[in-house]
Amino acid sequence: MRENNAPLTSIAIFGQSHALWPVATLMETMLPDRIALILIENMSSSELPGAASLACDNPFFEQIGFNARDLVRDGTAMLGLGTDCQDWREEGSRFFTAPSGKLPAVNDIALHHIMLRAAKMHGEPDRLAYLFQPLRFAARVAQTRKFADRSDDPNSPLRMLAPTIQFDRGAFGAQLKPRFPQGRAQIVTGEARDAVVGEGGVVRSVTLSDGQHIAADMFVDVSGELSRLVQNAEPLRTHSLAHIMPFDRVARSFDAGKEPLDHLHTIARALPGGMVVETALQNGIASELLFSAEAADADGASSSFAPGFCENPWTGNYVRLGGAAAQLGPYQSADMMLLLEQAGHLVRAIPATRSMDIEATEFNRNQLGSARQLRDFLALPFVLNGRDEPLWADIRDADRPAQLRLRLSQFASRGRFVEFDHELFDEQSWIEMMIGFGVTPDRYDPSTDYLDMKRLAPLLKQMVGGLTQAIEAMPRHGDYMHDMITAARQVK
Amino acid sequence: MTGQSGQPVRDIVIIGGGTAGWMAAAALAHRFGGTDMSITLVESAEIGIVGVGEATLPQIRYFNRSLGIDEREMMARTSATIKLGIEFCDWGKAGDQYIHPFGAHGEVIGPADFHHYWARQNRGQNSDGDAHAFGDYCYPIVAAKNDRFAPPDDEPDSALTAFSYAFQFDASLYGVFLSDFAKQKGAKRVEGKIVSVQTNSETGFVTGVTLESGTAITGDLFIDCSGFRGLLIEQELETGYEDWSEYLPCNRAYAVPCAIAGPVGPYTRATARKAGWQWRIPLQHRIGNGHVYCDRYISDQDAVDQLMTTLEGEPLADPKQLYFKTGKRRTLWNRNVVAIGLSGGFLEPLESTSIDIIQSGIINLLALFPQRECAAVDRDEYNRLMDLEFERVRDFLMLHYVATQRDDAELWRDMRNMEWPDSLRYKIDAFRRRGIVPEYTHGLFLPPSWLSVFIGQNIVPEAYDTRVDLMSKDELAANLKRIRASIAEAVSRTSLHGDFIKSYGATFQAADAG
Repeated sequence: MRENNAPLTSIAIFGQSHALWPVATLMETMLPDRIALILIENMSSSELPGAASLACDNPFFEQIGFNARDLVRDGTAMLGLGTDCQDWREEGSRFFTAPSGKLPAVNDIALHHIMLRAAKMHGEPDRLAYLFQPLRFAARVAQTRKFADRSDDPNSPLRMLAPTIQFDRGAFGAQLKPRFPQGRAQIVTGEARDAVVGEGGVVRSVTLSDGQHIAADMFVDVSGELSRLVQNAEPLRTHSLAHIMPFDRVARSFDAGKEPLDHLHTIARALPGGMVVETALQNGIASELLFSAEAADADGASSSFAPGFCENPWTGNYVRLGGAAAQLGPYQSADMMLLLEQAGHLVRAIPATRSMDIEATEFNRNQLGSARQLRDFLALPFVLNGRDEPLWADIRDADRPAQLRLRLSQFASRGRFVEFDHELFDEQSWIEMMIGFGVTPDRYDPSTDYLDMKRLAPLLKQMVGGLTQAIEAMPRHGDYMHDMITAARQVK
Repeated sequence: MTGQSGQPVRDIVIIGGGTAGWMAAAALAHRFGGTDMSITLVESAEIGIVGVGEATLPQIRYFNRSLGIDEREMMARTSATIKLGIEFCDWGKAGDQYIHPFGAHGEVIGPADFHHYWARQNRGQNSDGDAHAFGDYCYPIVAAKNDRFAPPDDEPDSALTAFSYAFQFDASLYGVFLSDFAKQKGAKRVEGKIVSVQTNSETGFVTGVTLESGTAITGDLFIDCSGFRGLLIEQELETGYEDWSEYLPCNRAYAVPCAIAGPVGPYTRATARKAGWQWRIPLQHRIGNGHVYCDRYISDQDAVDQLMTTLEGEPLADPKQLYFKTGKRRTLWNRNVVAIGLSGGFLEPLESTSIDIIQSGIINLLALFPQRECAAVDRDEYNRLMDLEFERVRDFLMLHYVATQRDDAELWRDMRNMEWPDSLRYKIDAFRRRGIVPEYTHGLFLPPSWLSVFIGQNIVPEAYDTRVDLMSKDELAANLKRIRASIAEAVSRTSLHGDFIKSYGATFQAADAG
C-alpha cells in the first residue's frame, strides 16, 4: 500500500445488524471523536442470525460497559454453564463441557494424574473418565439442573463456575443499537454491493444497493458477503476446515413452540450427516444445523457453509471481520467468539494515519492466533468422535492441524496439557474434553507413584463431598432463571 | 509400586558438577529424594568449571523457592547482592544509559498500554508537556539508581508490588550450596575423571561411564552438564551444533574480579565497547568483571588491556580467558542424554540468561520426565520448548546490537547492516512505527524487557495507540505526574541496598567459601 501519512479521519463499518452493532459499539467506546464512524446497516437480509453462548465475563462485555445479564433482563437470553455434547462418542452418549477454574492439585500433581493412577491400580485405565467425573464441578452442576453464579471466595467451589450467556444474536444487536450515542456516527441503511478500489489497492468507497457511494479512509466489513468480491492490496490466504467439518450447508431456525425450561443449556448434537447446536432462550429454542448436502437432507431453507478462516483479513485499508473472514460454525459459538476477538484486535490496531501496513500485519497475526485457538478447541469433538458413519470416520482419520496434534499426542502420552501463547480456553476445559472424549493418557506424572493413595482417598472423598454439598445448596436452574426474569419484569 | 506400563527410570547420572550439574542434582533430588530413584553426580576436581553467570534473573527465586531454599542463607553463603536490573551504557550511542528492570513501567491508566501514553506525552507534535524519562515510571529503575531496595510487598496498589528481583552471586559458591542441599536430599557425588562411555549397540543409548579409577557407573538417564565439550551429547552421540555466530559474533571473553571501591548499586552493568561489551557484577566481597568480544575486531591483548584499564578497584586475580561459540546443540535431548548448561548451548551473558536457561532445561525435564525408553514424544517436546527458549533469547540479545546508532567501530556498523532474522526485523519495525511490543505467554523476556531496550536504545514509537486520545491532555499530565511522585515516594521509604543485606541477615562471611 502507498505511504500516506495523512491522519486517519473516518472508518466505515458495514454489515447486518447482528454483527454491525457489537463491532460499532466497541469502536465507538474505544476510539476518539476525531475519527468519524459511518455505519452502513443492512436490514434487508431475511436470514436468521442464529444464537450464541459466551462466557458472561467475556472481556468484550466489559470493554463496551455492558452487563451480559442485561440480555436476560431486557431480552430473551438465558444463563447457562456450558454445552451438552450429545451423541458424539456414540448414539446416546453425553458429555457436558463447561468452562471452569483449575482444580486443586495435590503436591503439585494435577488430579487427573492421580485418578489415572487409581484407575491403573485396578487395571482399568479406561475408567479414568468415570473416576474423574465427580471432580467435574461445573458439569455436575449442569447435570443436576442446578445453577449458581461464580463466587469470588477462593475457598468456595463456586469459584470454578463460569456462567455463560445464551442469546439471540439479532436481539443482542437490537439491544445495542439504541444505546449507541446519538450523533457519534453517520448511520446509513443499505447493503454494500461493490467497492471502488484505487491505486495501490486502496478502497476508496463502497457502493450501496441504491447506488450511493460511501467514502472513508478505512473500511470494516462484517457483511460476510462483499468481502468475497473485494480483492485489493494482496490475495486472501484462506485455510479450509472442510476435512474436520465436512459440511457445506447451514440451516438456522427458531422454534417458539419448544418449552425451554427443561432444556436450559446449549446442546451440540452430532447427527449421522451433520451436527446441530440448539440454544435455549426464554421464548424458544434457536437451532443451527450444519450438514453435508450429499449426506443428509434438511427441511427448510439453508445457505452455503464453507468452514475455514482467512490468514490475512486486513488487506490495504479493508478489514474483514466475523463471517467476512471465517466460517467456524456454531459449536462453542466459534463464529461469534472470533468476531469479538477480531474486534478487540482491531481496536488495538487502529492506525493513526492512512498508512496502515504495520497495523494490518499485527492485526492479521493476532487474529490468526485467535482463529487457530478456536479451531483447535472446536475441532476436538469432531476428531475424537466415535460414530460409525463413514462421514464421521473420515473426520476421525483426517489430517489434524499441527498444534492440535501436539496437544493430543502430549496428553495421550503423559496427560500433559500443552499451552500456547494467548490461550482462549482454560486448561481444565481442555483436559476435561480430552478425557471425556476418550483420550486416556498412557502414563501419569511419575511423581504420582510417590503419593500414598490410601491417605489420599479420604482427601479426595472430602473434596468430592464438598462439591456435592455445594451443588445440593444451589437452586434449580429453572427456578433461578424464573426468579431472575420475574424480578426483571417487576422492575420494568 | 508403579502402575505405569513402561519401565521407570531408576538411575540418573549427572555428568559435571558446575552450576548446571548441581542445579540439576538439587532439583531432581528434591523431586525424587527418599524414593528408590538414585541420583549420581560425577565430577572431577581436575576439570575446572566455567562458573557461568554470576548475575541471575528473577526466575531463580522461583527455582529456589520450589526447592524450599532459605533465601537469606543462600545469599549469605554465595556473597549475593540484590539485582533489580541491568544498566546498559553506551549501547544506543556513546553516553547513553538505561536500565532494563525486573518490573513494568507505569500502571494501568486506560485501555492502552502505559508506554503509549508516555509516547504521546513524549512526542513533539501535540506534545502535552515533558514526559520525563521512561525510567522515571518504573519503581525498580528508580530504586536501582538510588542504591535502594525493599522486597515487593502485598499491597495491591503499591508501586512496591510491580517488580521482582534477582541476585548477583558467586556461581561457584551457589554450586557448593546446592551440592550440600542435593546431598542432604540423597544425591550421591562421585569424584573421578571419565575415561570411557558405554552405549547400547542397538539403541545407541548411553548405558554407563567408566572413571579413571576403573569405577563403572551405569544409568538409565544421563544429564550432560560437562560444559562446552559436551562429553556425552557431542563427543559420544555426535548430536551436532547450530552455530549462531553470524547473529551474535562475540566469541571470546576475559574475566577478572576486582576489589570494591564504593557503593555498588543493586544492578549489573553492561557497557558497550568497540569490539564487544564489558560486564560489571557486584557481589558482597568483590566485583566480577569481564570483557566479551569478537576476535575479528580486536586482538586478545587489546581486549585484556581494555578490561584491566577500566576496573574500578584493584584486580584480585589474573584475567582468565574464555572461548565460546554462540549457538546450541541441534537437539538438547538426544536418546537418553539431556544436555543442560554449556553442553546444550551458549548465548553470551549480556542479559544474564545462562542460569535461567539451565533452570528451563531442568523444569522442562521434570515436566517431561521420561520412562527408561525415553520416548520420542517426550524428547521432541523437550527439544521444541528449549529451541523456542533459545531462539527467543537470541532475538532479544540481538536487539541490543542491531538497535544501535553507534558508528564508531566496525563491529557496530556490521551489526547494524547485517541480515536480521525476519522475526526480529518485524519486532523492531512494529515498535518504531506503532509502539507494538512483542507479546507471548512463554518466554523469558516479556513486554517490559523489550520496551526497556527499545526506548533505552532510542527507538521511540512514531505513532501510538489511538485509544490514548480518549484521555484529555490535563488528565494525562496529572496521571503521569502522580505515578512519578508515587514511585519516588515509595523509593524514599526503602533502605540503602547495603543496609538491606545486613538487616536481612544475608551478610557473606568469607570463611563460608571455604
